[in-house]
Amino acid sequence: MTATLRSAGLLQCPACQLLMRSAVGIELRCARCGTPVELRTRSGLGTTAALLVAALTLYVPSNTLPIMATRSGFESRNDTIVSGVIELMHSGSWLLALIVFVASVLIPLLKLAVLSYLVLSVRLRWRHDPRSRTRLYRLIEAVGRWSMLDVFVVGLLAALVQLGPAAEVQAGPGVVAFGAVVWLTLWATRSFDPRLIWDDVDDA
Amino acid sequence: MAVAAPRRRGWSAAQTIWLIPLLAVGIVGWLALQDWLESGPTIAIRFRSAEGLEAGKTRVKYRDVDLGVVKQVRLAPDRKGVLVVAQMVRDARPLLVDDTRFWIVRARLTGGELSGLSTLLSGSYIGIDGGKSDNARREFEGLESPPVLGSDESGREFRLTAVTLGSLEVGSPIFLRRVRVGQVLGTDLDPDGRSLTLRIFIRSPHDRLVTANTRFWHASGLDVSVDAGGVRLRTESLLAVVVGGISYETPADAATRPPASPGASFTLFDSQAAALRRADWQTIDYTATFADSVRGLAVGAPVEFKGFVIGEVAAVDIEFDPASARFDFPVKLRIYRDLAATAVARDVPVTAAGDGNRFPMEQLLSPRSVARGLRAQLRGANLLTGQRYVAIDFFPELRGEKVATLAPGSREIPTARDAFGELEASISRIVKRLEAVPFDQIAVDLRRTLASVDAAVKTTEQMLRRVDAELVPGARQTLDEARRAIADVRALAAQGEPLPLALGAALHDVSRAADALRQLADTLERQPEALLRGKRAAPAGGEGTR
Repeated sequence: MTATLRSAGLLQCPACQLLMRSAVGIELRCARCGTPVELRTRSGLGTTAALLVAALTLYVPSNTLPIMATRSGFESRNDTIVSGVIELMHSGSWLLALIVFVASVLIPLLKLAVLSYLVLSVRLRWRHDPRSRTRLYRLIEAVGRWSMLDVFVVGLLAALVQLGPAAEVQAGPGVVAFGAVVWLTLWATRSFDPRLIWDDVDDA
Repeated sequence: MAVAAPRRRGWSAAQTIWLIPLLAVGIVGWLALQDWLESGPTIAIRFRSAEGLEAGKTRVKYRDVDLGVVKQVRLAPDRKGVLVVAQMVRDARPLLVDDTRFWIVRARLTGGELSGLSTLLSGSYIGIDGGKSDNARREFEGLESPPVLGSDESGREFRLTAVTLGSLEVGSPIFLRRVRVGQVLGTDLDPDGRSLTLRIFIRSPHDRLVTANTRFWHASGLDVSVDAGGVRLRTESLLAVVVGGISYETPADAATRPPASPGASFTLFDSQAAALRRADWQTIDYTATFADSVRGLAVGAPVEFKGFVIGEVAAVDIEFDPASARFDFPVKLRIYRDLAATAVARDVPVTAAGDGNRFPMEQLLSPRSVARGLRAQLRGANLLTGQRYVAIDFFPELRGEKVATLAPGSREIPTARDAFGELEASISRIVKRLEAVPFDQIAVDLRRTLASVDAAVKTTEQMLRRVDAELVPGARQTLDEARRAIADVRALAAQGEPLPLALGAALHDVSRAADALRQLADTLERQPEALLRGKRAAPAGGEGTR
């Protein structure tokens, strides 16, 4: 039998480490420093779910709208993330294509999928294999920030490549959507409380 | 240590967080709606080749405004062309009708205009020429070359029949007084392959100047003609020189006619002169039959009356008259009836000639004129090129000569020998006279004369030799004897014997004879020929004294 704060009926302030008696179902603040405290309410899961839904919605335009408009000489082209990857592949830059693919396509997809799985598993009170689910959470928390790579690249290019009539790079509307997706998934990951995975295991 | 109880929290974020996905859905929905509103129909255009077209990249443009993008380029099911699928924007909807035309814009040179230069760097695109029909359409047949004419141009189309295309092509310009007023739309070879039909377009308002008797002619390049008037170089504008073109003009006195109806057919002449000359001018055909060579007389050569062009040669024929076994050359003359026509033939700008100014050519070419010596004659116009023309002139020496031709109703002008023929005739007359001279006899006589002269010379020589050999020594002997006789006489006188008076006279005579003999001897010494021809200065009386 393992003992947790929850099983002891206690709460801890995340800022000043003050231990308090838990009072379920009420919005609470730390008695000493005023930081909002909660054991781990179901509303936390709601935040994650809401952000996930927003991220999933924005994921569609982030991949269909062009993220970058390039114009060199008389030629101009609009690239979405996927067309950029394909273009890199065709031009022979396999490694670059792989990096962009992993950072901009695979990781956001992975995060959305894993978070959805975690939220569902908590919501449906699944009890199997909490350890690997916790490991999955740690993974997406660690790699999540790398998705911003694309946004930075576009931002840098748009700022640097302004050669007037010769060549010009402009950020497309897709990059805003994509940035929003990455930011929303980061926020969703942070808002998810991995302890919820274990609560149902403890309750069982 | 007491465990503190937590304080109540002010407001809940649990519900407000759902505003974020709501906002996201709103944005995405709005974007999708906008996209849906903007996206127009998908169309398929069939081209013969997809040269320069790239899926996802090639644009469809109308007046250089993007109206769509090529989504797909694939082979047509019958493999005789390509199908280009393009996603059009919503604004393009009214343009996608029955008579809309599509073509691939590339850099090309047509009708002296370089177009689509920017496509060299940016790549080709598909151009649209919006139609006017109301029937929407989604599948189109693409043009291989840009339409020469935008559908919004106003003007009229006409047809020209030509024998040769020259350097004309689709897009070749059409000039009115060297102003560019239209273009060639298309050229079609007639089914029998003998002529061409050109479709031309003349822009408004110049199309109203095309009437039923407007004349069109090739203005292509340089028109160098060598005719009886010499070498002539004529050009239209410099553009026409380079790319060719068509010019037209409506004769001034015919301009009052109503404009020609669209699609009216005209003949395309080879040159301006031909176009205007063969215009509606009334002509009368005459024939002049020449007996001499018609070398240098070309169809189209001028017929001049005292240097004034009154017509042209329509045809040169050959006729054999078996009765007289003679070849004749009947030359058809096309005589202009109007002064205006002759002005055109002389390259004088056509002006509206009043009827009072017209000169009835029938009056000039009448039997009365023939009776007064009117004849047609071939004359050399240009020594360099050997071109000749037909001159109509009065020959006073032929006045009153009876000729059967140009009787009332007849269109035959009697001819006079041409200058060359006359020269030939007189030369032959001289030759004939020369032939009559008996050169053989003269030669024989001459030889005979020469021989006798030779003989005479020989005789003289012999005579001289005889004089030398016989006469001279004889004379000397005579002299000696005379001297001796004189000495005897002197000796006789010295003896002092009186001689009778007769003897004295005789002696005097002898002395004179001796003198004469000496003179003869001297003369003969100096001029032996004196024997034959006589003494030059004084009469030789020597022989008489012997």
